[in-house]
Amino acid sequence: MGARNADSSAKGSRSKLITLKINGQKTTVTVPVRRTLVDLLRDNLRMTGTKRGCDEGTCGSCTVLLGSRPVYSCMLLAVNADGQDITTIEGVFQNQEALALGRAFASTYASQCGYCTPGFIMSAYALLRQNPDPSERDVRFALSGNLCRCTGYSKIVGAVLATAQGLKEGQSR
Amino acid sequence: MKGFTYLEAASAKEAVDILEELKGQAKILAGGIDLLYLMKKGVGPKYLVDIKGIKEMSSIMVDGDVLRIGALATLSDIASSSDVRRELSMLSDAASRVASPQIRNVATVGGNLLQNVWCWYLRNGYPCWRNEGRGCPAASGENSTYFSIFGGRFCVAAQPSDLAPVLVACDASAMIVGPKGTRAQHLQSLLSGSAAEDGKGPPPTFASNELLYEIEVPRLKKGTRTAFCKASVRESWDFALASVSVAACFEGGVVTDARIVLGGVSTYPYRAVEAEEAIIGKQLGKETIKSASRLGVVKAKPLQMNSYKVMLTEGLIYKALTSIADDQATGRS
Repeated sequence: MGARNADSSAKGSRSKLITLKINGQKTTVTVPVRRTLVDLLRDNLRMTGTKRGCDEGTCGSCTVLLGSRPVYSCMLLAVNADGQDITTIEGVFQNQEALALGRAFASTYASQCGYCTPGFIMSAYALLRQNPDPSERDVRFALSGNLCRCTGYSKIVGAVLATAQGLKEGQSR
Repeated sequence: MKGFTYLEAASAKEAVDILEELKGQAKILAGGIDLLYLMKKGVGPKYLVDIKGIKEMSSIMVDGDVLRIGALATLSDIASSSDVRRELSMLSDAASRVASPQIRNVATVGGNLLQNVWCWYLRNGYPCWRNEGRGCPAASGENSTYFSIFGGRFCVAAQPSDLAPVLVACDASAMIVGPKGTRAQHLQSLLSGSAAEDGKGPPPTFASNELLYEIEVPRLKKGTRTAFCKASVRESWDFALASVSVAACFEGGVVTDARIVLGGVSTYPYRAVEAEEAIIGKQLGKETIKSASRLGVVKAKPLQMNSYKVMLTEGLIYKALTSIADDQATGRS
């Protein structure tokens, strides 16, 4: 905790050394305190799968998992991810649910321009990990923080439901 | 985003010491959703004091007669807490409908209560009363959505928190840590301080060297029924055009005590006292509900573009009271 000042004489810092576990890999980096997590991922670590869209916590294209929970990486200072597990679109396909989601998105045209797709995959993956048998309402609720301006959402919701169904059948076989 | 200096506090006392030393130049960083949004628009403090490391501030627990919710508990924590679901289901309902999953996973109850108003003039940098300027462009401008129907002297933007009216309906208090120790203040008065009522700046009752530590909610008395109803343009990811939170206590089928608090329609959580009086001492029949709903908006003074919210609010009160009456009739808990 380099920035902590135990004597509370308020000096503070403008940058900080942080350690993140990104997709299972430990990464130690010094960041300016005002850098958001999406900027760290894209601009410093060159992991450009996570998209920067609105950059104000609305569109969801920058969604990553903090632990098991989806968050907007544009609304999180990188220093606040210190010590945490981060999963991005680059690492999520190590999991079969995500891989199945990716295939379903591709084969059912749930991705058009593609800019929102990584964010949708992350939110949908977080949902399926938590609830393997979601209703359509559950899916729409879980994806409500992601915007798509191409598909009209029906294909995306359909892809997630089809993935859940496919995984369920795969398991019972 | 403008540059700033970053400090971390390991305890509430340390946070208050830092705030005291920096004399109004620092802001508390918790979830950061509202704060980072404003900072990206160029509105920002010189110093941020990060309190996320204060672990005890994220706990939710039942403690004797009260439910304690740490100011750092996230909206997801509240929505998924079995204690909150059992003790105060309308708070779970309200928390699970705030914004989007990604925001609920980060945004805290403290930030939700103390967030700045979502007036699009302010959020786009207009120099109004709240932004080092004068006047209120929304009072005579585009005021059809998140604005008051119950007046406002300097600012007409509605208090945006969905949790605030729920908590006020339960008579919750804020525990506030300051240089001289901890004090309790009813959330109602914290969010309805004279300046908040006028809509000009943060309530004076909450000083720049104080920290919102936790919310203390008295456990509901036996026989109390609650309901939360919210109307918004989108079903999710939207602020309330209007919301109604009701806590009504029954004895032998008769309402003995009630709080009806409106959100999204006033510059502070608005207690619809006339509606409360209209149901106390009565059984919740259809006619009683109808007249109470009408009385709930009897003091409305809508702006040029939001008179529809008067009817909307009346309808929501009707819906909330009817749901309570149904629960009472069927004995559902």
